[in-house]
Amino acid sequence: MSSSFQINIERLSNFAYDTLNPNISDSTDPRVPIPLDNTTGEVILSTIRLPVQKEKSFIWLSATVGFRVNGPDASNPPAAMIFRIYRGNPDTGNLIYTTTDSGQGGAGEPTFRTTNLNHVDTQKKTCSCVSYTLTVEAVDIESIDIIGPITFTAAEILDSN
Amino acid sequence: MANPLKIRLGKLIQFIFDILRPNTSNSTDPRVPVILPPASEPVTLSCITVPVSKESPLVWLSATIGSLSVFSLDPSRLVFSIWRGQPDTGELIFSTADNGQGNGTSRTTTFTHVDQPNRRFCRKITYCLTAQAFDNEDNINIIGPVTFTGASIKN
Repeated sequence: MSSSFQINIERLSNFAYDTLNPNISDSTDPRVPIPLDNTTGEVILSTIRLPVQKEKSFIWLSATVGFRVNGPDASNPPAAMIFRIYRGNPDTGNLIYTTTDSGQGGAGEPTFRTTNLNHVDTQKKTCSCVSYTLTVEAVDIESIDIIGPITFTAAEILDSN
Repeated sequence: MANPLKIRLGKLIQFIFDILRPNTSNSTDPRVPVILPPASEPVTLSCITVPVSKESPLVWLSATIGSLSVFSLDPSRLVFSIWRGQPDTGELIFSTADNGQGNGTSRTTTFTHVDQPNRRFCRKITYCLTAQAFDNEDNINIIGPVTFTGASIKN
């Protein structure tokens, strides 16, 4: 009777990413600036597709987003930026991560800010490819521009157990 | 009867990092504090040299920096940059601006980037992390931690 013998040299099996080009503050990439105000609603910043192994693995997600709280009008408390990650797309996918950062600042002059996110998606895989969408929604703000950088990464790590 | 043999090669080629020792806020490492006075030039916080794959090389970079804004009202900002090569001769591949405002205000900035170097580059690439303060009234001090990592990936 035959049995399969498998050697895993190491654990990082797949990696996908998206960045602006150039991925800098005030980038000239046509994807930015993304102007936000109270009526904008949720905006997609990035989508990545990652091939995955069939067996159990973890997907380590990370993102960096640079934005500017504009003056001269101040965004006072509780001005907030809500970042979300969906498995799939926002309409039909699953919300798997959210975090809220400050959207305050811009009193007289702009305030610059960098937000970084980390998450691990442990959902068992049902297909050979998974997509993730990063969005932002600004609430109770005056005026904010997403100006870069935007980095979104997904790394598949094989589970040893 | 032959057994099916499956060898799966991974994609993580190498992992290089630089940290303060101890890598804490207000670290006693002699590399900090790094003082950024008003109207100062960019200061190099860390350089790492990362071996890269010959085919489809990617370098996944991340950094965490702890800073203290002594006294700066708006619009003070702190710009962190990553250079492929040295800051004066290399290529700017990433930058981000964080708030530098405050009055004895501590702050932690973290960011990630993925560099896709052209294949004409050598087998090893040096990346340098710099910090520069803009429009600050008083010093902004880099007090630790300083973490700079580079994961070399074969895509």
